[in-house]
Amino acid sequence: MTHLPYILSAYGITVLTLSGLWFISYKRFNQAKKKLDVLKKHNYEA
Amino acid sequence: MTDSMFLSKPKKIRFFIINQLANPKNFFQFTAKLQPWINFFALLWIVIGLIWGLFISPADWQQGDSVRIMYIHVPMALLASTGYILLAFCGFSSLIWKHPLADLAAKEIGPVGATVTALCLITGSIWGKPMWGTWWVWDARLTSVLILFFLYMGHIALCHAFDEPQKGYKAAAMLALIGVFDLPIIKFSVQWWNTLHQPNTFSLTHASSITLSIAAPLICCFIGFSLGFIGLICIKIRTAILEQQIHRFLINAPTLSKEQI
Amino acid sequence: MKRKTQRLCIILSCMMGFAIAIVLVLSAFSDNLVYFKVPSQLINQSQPIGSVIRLGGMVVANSLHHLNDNQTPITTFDVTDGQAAIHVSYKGILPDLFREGQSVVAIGSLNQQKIFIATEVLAKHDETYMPKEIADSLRKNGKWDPRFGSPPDPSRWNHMIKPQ
Repeated sequence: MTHLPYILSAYGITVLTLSGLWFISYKRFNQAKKKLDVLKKHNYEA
Repeated sequence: MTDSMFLSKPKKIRFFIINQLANPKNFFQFTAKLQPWINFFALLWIVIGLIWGLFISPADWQQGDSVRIMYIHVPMALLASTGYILLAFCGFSSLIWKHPLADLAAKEIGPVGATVTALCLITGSIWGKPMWGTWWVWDARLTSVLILFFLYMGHIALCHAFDEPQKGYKAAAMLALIGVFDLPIIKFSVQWWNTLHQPNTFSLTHASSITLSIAAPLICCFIGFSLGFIGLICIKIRTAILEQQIHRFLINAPTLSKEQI
Repeated sequence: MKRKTQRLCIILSCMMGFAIAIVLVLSAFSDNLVYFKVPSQLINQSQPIGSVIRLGGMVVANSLHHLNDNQTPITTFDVTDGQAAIHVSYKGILPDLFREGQSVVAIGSLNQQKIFIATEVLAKHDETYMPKEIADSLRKNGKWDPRFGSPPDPSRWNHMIKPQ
């Protein structure tokens, strides 16, 4: 009566999904920030 | 005023700063300061809670170690409902006050809420197989949470359904408000009807049927995941604010093509 | 300001109408929303023989019997809701949590002899979580027998374990 695979998969799926979501969100944030900086710089030069 | 034109129209900037504390610019600056702290404490509480739940807390007398799935399943379930309350609140302030931040927030809360609800359903299913003997049953609790998941998916779809985003946000806000009736059904389904799912463990009206050695890691996990949820929403809303600024820059500077950046 | 109040009124009245509609629909379909029926309901209503029903209740203590039919275990037990009991026969492997005193849901149908032939048995655990050590000491003290009911409230555990 070992339920270890069930427990580990529940923990694993949760941790992986949430850290994946975290990673994607931060990537999107950094991309947007970089893009905006380029635009602002361009605006000052113009 | 329906749009959040806080960058391109100076007069309206002033209007929002004076009249509405939660305007996008203020929100951005405020959460930018708070973000590292939220992230740090979210990670800290989640790590403590999960290690406590997985290794230190006692096994249940009849469920054995499988009861440890509760430490993630219950926070996910609570966050799924709380997230929807936030979504409905955003929808409400978008429809009534045309709040500039509300639509952005709703658009960013949707996917996080859907993920959390999916995790709640998946971990519940993984818990149900060894305990109940089945992955899924169509009882009132499970079905109403599945409906909540579809409400989240519908909200995401509506946000992207129209060429003109404002139209989509309005439709999505209406869906968020209508769907709010699913929340009491989820909460009380285990009392109103016979279900395979067990009744609520935590209760405000009578002594809860949980002991401290099991409740403590659960509370840790709940605090951690809640902070993580807040942090995730903050970073996503900030991204949305930046993207809105980019969009406006590109409209105001037609000479600048997208290829240049 | 006036348009805002107007919008507020429209939305609130829409929500109110929706709430009434949902309450009416749910109360109308309340009988179909229950996942299982208890033995006293099934005995009072005459069910057409052979129709698939879900029977829920507690496994009666000392009613559990195991038989064997060509390697497949056959189990018979009684399910009760405190008012009536129905005899259940199930051929197959039971879930781990199945025991006397446990709440179960059996899916199957009643035959002519009023015996419930189950095709699937699910275990339904309660909302009380109890560490193993406490359950063991409660059972050793004779304060609680899992075969005869749900576990006591956590606020009473200390009191029950300590010798008086």
